[in-house]
Amino acid sequence: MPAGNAVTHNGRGSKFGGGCLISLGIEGTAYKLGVGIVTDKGEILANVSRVFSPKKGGLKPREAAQYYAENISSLIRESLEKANLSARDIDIVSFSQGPGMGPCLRVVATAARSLSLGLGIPIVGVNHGVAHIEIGRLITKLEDPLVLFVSGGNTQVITFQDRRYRVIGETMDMALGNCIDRLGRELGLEFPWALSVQELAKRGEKFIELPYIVKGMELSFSGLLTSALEKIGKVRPEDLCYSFLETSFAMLTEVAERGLTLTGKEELLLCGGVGALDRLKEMLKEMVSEHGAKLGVTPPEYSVDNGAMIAWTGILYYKSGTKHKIEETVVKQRFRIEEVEVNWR
Amino acid sequence: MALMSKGAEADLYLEEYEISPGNKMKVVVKFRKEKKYRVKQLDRKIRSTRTRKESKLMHSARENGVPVPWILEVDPENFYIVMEYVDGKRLREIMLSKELSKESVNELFREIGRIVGKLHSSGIVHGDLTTGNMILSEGGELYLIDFGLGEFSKRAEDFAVDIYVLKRTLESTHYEYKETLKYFLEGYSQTFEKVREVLEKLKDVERRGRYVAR
Ligand SMILES: Nc1ncnc2c1ncn2[C@@H]1O[C@H](COP(=O)(O)OP(=O)(O)O)[C@@H](O)[C@H]1O
Ligand SMILES: [Mg+2]
Repeated sequence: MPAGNAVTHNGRGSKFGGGCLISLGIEGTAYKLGVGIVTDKGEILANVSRVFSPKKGGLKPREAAQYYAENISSLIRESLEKANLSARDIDIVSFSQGPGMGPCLRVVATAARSLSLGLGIPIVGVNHGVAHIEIGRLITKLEDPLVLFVSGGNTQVITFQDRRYRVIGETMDMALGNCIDRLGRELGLEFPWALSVQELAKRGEKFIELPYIVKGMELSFSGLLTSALEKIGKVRPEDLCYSFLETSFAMLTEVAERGLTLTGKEELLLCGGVGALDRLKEMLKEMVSEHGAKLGVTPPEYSVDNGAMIAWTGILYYKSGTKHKIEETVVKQRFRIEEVEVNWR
Repeated sequence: MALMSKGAEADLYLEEYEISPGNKMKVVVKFRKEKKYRVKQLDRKIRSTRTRKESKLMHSARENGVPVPWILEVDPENFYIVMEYVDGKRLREIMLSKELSKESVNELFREIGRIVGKLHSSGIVHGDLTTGNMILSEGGELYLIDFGLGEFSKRAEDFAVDIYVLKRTLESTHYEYKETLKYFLEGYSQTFEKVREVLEKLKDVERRGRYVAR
């Protein structure tokens, strides 16, 4: 680890040389609470998380928030230990300001505010989607990719144009990750459902036709899900999972392909939790190679919700001149990615 | 055969076609390519359905007075359509290059509104109503193309998705033309009766997709 006593932005000595900035980021928009510590050189010093796993189905924002509140202090401590730092080494604190479930966002914002006030360091509220993209760009080293962001709560195709990330394609109803989870749950599979669905799908043999709905750059998954749920008990679960993933991933790949031709971009970045599923990566790779384009996949640790992505994006915001007053740190449940002015690219 | 466009879904070729002895015209052959990333069964199904649908919808649109290229030949088993070539430029490029004044674009959208109104009145949903699927001909006529994602429908909700896709294109690709939708809707209400119902549904579609909390 670099030594030295360089003065950082908060006027304190840091363990890191060369005026290195250290950011602690807290992520908590859905079921995963994450804390990451990252330097402005892009070194990830810690990335720890805890998952709230609801016992029964349905969204449980309050219970998740309660779980967050019980775990957040010890998780922050854990991250500092991992990074071998003390709280006083942190130069800025950043947090996921939205979009996400209100009660969860509020716990995270409160923790970030108290760190900021307690340590006298700047605070930055970060857009969750921007963070997914930025950590992906950091790790895959893609310059200017078209982004396919697929997670439990999001299914979007995003392009960068005129200082903003712009959503050019999106689900018109449910997020794909959410649908895969529902299917897994209704089939009585184990949490994490998406991985269980993938495991079953690998043993699928017969392709069952399911609704395939693409309107230009817009997707719809609710008809696909309804139809799949109706087939439970009537067909082999293996075949159902196989057909469900084949159909929905083909829809995603089609939209990503249309997005590449529309924007003329030569790189595709896959991020978000669903990006961890093998078959999706495989399909995208096949598609991208036909266009002579490049595929970058954010590795699982950083493609699921995580603290490091928030910490890193906090640095980008901060270095390009954004820090927030406490009264600007109100959470935004419906924070659209287009609202963020990207001054670091 | 000259390759004219390599799209996401199809390759398009420019060709000479003899419609009657000694009578040739320029045509476009639209061939839907195989996509190796998806399972064969799904791939063939998608390509043949879209080819068949596209020709049926365009045929019906034309009968109802909607300006679309004339279909000369269709072969769903081999995934291709032969249609009249429209000499012109796509609206997408026209708008991006800013070669038309904002006023002319607004005027054009009023006309597009009338055309889409007529389309919807005939029970046809376009399915990918973006500026990349509109050609302004040399003669100044606006044509709709690319009906592969469309369908026959009379549901307000399906019409609303067309408007939604167009609105999203204005917001994301032509974000300097956000007000232009107003002109579209003016024209639209001249040729289509159930505008209010569709606009109500449009609100639902927007709420559902973009602003639902996770
Ligand atoms: N009838 C036509 N006349 C002239 N150009 C056409 C015609 N049909 C398609 N094109 C051109 O080919 C491109 C692709 O055709 P399109 O039907 O939109 O297929 P896709 O978008 O699925 O690739 C269009 O954007 C347009 O530039
Ligand atoms: Mg097209």
